[in-house]
Amino acid sequence: MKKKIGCLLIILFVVPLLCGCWDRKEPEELAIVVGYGIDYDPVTEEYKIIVQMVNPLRSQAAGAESASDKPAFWTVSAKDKTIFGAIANLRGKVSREIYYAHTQLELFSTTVLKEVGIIPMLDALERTGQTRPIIIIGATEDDPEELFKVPLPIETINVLGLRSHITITSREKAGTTIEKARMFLNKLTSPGIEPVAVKLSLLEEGGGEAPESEPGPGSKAPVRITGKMIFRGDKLVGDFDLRETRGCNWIIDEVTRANLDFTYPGREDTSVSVINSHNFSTFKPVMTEEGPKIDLKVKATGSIVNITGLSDIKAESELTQSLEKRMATVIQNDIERALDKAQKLKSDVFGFGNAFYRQEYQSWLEMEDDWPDIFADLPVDIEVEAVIKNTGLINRGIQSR
Amino acid sequence: MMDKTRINNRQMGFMLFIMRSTIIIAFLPVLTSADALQDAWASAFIILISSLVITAAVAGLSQRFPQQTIVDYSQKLCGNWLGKLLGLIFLWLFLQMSVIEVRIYGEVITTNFMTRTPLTFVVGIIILSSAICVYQGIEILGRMADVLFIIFLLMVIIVLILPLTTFEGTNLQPVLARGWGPVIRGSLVPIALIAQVWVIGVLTPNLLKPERVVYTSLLAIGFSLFTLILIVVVVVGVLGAFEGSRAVFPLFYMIRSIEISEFLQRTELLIIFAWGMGIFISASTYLYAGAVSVARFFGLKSYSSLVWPMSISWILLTTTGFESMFEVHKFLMSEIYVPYGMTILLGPLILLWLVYGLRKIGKEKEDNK
Repeated sequence: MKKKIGCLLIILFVVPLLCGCWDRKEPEELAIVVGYGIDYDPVTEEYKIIVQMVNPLRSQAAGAESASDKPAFWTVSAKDKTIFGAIANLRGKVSREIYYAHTQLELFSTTVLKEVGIIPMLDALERTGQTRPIIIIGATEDDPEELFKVPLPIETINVLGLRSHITITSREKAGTTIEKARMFLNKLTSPGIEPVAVKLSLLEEGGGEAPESEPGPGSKAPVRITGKMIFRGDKLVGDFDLRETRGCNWIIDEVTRANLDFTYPGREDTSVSVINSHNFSTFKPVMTEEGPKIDLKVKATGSIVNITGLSDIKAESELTQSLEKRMATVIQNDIERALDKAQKLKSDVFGFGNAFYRQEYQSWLEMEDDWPDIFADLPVDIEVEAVIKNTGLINRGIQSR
Repeated sequence: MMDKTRINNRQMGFMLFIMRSTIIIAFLPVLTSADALQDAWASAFIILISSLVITAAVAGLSQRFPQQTIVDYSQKLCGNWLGKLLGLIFLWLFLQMSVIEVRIYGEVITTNFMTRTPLTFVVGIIILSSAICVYQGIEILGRMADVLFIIFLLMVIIVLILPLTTFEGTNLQPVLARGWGPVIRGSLVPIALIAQVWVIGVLTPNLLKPERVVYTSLLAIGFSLFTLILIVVVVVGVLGAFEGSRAVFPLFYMIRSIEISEFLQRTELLIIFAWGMGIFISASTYLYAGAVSVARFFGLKSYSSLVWPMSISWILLTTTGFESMFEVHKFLMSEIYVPYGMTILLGPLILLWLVYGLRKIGKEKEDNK
């Protein structure tokens, strides 16, 4: 009997433990943030935090007749002298507990990146338990709030749309790099390499409309991804345009697919388009008597997707070699443009210095302190090998008779 | 012997594996306590070698006294007075190791997941459930180790496999560029933490085959530190050496920052889950070792009446022993913990072996006469 009572007492003691804890979070009491932006006003020295929250009711009922007439997301902002002060002010504006665990995108304005640097924001991101370093880091010259609010055609939630926009642009045309916070922080803290961020631009004026006014079928693309923002240390110093971005991606082996155009050998009016895939590039730090040098090797293969004039390519010939040479030249030009820009800005986004740190540690110790200056004049030997694999599904161009 | 129940050697091996793995993997002092950075794997290798040597010495001693706990044979070897003193040291050690481990786990839970839950609650649940387990006897503890080990191992394997898509070998370079200094500095704290293997001295009399205790312990410790090497390599490969060494819980931070696909992320619960079960096993083993030692120390017949009062005092010490996370960090800093841990580990070890050796020589001389 005593044992039974004991058992009962234990069960009674255990049961209250099963029912939850101090920190339970009911989904219906949360405002789930999918993306946030940070802007800065140098005059008032105030930060502006912009958060985009999803409306779970709307996204659940998507397509159903009973879909709520409320918008699928809500963007709201608040200001204060400190970042967490702004977040605290935000709490006064939102009717639910703001929950950052599902954040996908962190968008900075170039003002904040130039004036304050990115470290204060990343510190908050790493220190608090909710956000994760899988967030994509983006930057824009426009107001992040407008970018969050501008109605995107065929997307229900802006930030999720932007995220897939970034992924597609980076994968299909090497137009940017998905720089997740993990990579960003790794580059920021490692010697001889500088971080980058996705560069987003607002194309149309008149953003900031309420999202209810769905864009019509003929509306223009509101947002464009225009390359990469490049940093030196934690401060933004400049940006790469699309071709420079592609050049940069060739160097760091991040081109999965790219679209290359060049003219047909011997016919200036005919152009050839190649989509290339299966690329491989590698660079090696070399210490020569004249100083440090980088040996860069790029190998790209592609297939012809369009020739605008008459053509007949079937067998390996001088023609195909010439085409390959032209393809290699396009790639080489991209690379040189990116190198020029980065060296002008003294920002080693390629990690050349890091390669010296990793493979030539003793020489790196001598160069470490004035690496930005050494990088600015660093000679790079570029060797591009381009291979045209096939001509698509036809091998002769269309000839009208 | 007071406790007739026996556990399999395998079960003790599992216990040792889990105990050795939890703190050293979750806290990763090999990376965070010094400046080993990308060479932390080499530090882990040094830890592996030295831990094996120390374990062999500790288990070897127990193997020579298969029917006695460490409190008994230290009294037998060193005499009543000194032996009792040694017993007190071991008691203190079991208490302290368990306090540190449970406290760190409690801190993880309260800083990352349940920021508003009182620490006392988290710690209390772990220690009270351990107390229930220990109260039932060592057989139950052994079976728990059997069950949880499989889950623990599975989680460790998943944790090692998941990040492979984001793993970058270049993060491990330059290899040993700064010489062996940083490597050795990184290995000191984890080596000192192996003071926990003294529990072998309490568990041995309950083994089915106490004569194979050295083999079992070496296997368990060897495997757990081999896992440590793999984990260090993965953490540095994913996060980078500088990022990894900045984190309070590097393994946890690593698993948070990986994303296998849009649908497979947030895998950190695996670690917390495995770690929590590991902490349960460690806390139970320490509590058992502590209770048995106290019982032997005072010559009690059974340890079970001690479990409840002890568990309450352990909860109290775990929550109030350290004011904040800073104190835990400070305690585990190499300049404090290394001299302390080494003394508490090597002092009794050398003393006991010395006395044992002298007695043996003396005995042989007597026999020869």
